[in-house]
Amino acid sequence: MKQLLRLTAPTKGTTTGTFELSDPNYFYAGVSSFRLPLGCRAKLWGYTLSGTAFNATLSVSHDGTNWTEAAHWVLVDEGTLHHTYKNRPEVFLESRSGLEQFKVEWSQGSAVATSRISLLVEISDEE
Amino acid sequence: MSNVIDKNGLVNPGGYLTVFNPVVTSERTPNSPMPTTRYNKALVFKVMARQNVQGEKYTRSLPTTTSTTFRSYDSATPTASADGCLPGRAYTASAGVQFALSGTEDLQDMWKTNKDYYDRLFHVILNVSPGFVRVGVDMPSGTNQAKFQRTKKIVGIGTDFGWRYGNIETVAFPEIDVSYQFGNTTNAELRPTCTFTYGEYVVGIPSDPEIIFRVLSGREPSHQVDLPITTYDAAVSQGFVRTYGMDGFRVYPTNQSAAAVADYQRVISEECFARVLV
Repeated sequence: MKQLLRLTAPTKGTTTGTFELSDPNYFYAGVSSFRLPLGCRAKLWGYTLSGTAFNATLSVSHDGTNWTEAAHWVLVDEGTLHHTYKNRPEVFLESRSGLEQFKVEWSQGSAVATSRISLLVEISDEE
Repeated sequence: MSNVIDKNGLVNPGGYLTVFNPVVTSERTPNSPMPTTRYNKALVFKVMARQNVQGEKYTRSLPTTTSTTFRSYDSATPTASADGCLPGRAYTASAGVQFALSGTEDLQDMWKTNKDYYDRLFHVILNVSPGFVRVGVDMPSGTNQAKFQRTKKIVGIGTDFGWRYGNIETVAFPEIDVSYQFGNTTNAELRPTCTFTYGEYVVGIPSDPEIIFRVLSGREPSHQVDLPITTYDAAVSQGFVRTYGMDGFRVYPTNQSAAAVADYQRVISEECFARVLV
């Protein structure tokens, strides 16, 4: 099973916060962290930061309580930052207990809701 | 891929479909050197034609509503926020869900027919998006047949194993109720899409016992689908008997062709309804 999700969310009018990630095709509403299905891997195929300057931090948790930073991206100025991992997506989280989850937080200089993040994440129970 | 099935996994007209019953039957046979004989049964169908072969896909949302009852992987009582939704950390109630469709024989279950449809068989392949939705089939409806170590441990959609992600293949028989189970272990409320690839087969049971033996011994290519059962519920066996007159052909070892063919001839001439034979 392989499922590609385009998780996207805007920043809100605060200097820091957690993105409410949602895939409009499949999610009824966004979630502040996404809990992986048991036995699945999360593979990052690409990300896009757009809008005004902000920092984004991808964190993972194996128990839903303790979080570890897995990646940090910086949009230094107004515009778009886009990166694709092409044929080698990064496996950033693997579910063994069913408690594993990931989240993305933002920080920005001004409390404005003018930016957005999009992640292309594959959820797969295959290698 | 054999030429029995097409690129969508459906049996080509002229091909054979074997529905294997994985439940082993034990039988005392006084004249046999073995005190008991254990065997499986299988139904063999010849697919004579496929109806509506140009359009065998049907896509729709999950048949849930805001009043559908769900069970929780945690301790909450989940409810769907809108029709077609599967709440986070939730799975369907023990009765499962069926796909209602107006204008069909059974309005609550589009795949359910009765024994008057003895010449029809629905081969149903369900794909669910997103693919990480757990899927299961209960046959008969509402009966969880997922077991581990015989019937020692009950597994399935609500446990750590005994289910599959995203797709399931089954055969819908006349007279037998089937329900689907869906589970979502993520914390996001999902709006799954259900895509059926189905074949409405015009079928008959071969009247030549040699063909039955050739199919069941693997000498004649056929597409095999296993019944999703671990215990042989009377509702299933009686459904077969009401439709076909019998509940399958015993599967013999390949070196017992004479006994097998004689047994198949007896089943065909004494048990099978004449109308189902081709």
